[in-house]
Amino acid sequence: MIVKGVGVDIISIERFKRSVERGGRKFLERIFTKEEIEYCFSMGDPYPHLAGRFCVKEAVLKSLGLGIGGGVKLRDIEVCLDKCGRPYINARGSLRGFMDKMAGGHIFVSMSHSEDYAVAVAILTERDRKEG
Amino acid sequence: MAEDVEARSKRIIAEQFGVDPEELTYETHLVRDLLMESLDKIELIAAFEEEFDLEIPEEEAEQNVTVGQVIEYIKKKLSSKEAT
Repeated sequence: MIVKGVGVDIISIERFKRSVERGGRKFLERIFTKEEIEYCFSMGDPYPHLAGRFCVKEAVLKSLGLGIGGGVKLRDIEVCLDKCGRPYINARGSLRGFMDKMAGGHIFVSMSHSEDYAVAVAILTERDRKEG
Repeated sequence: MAEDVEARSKRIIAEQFGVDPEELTYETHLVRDLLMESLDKIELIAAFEEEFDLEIPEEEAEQNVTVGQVIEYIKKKLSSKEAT
């Protein structure tokens, strides 16, 4: 497995909350899928979860060497949780297209938050041809 | 008189960055002068879509790095919307 890129992102949860309050549904839907929005708002306080997922998406873009508007939409980087609660990326639309070009590429992610900040890291790998 | 596109655009940008609209010129750079972060960018796109009832793809927004470019982009989008 060859590491092709790494990305990290951090954001103030309070700052993110203000953005959501100001931008409303339109702002949320530009960043998150319907499932992500539903999941986060099923929590007592949705904002650490929303901010964490936003960080994951930004970290993924950085690992790909892209920014916002670089061809991969934030909504297409869907953050899901496996049965152990570990986050993984469901590549949709524009991200799937990007990953298909990499033939076997995979993105590992992790996220965390404190009371004030959310943080995430993404590692982009390409499968070594010898691994088959 | 109703605000024109330039004044409305400057108002949105000024509100986003907490500056006086009169301080903004065509040359004001969103990143270098106003310290725009990725979250600001998404908020701005959403605010412009709301204000002008437009659909703004992120790829197109990415091309506009100065206040002047934003204003000209919005004017162009509005005129092509009227033409359809």
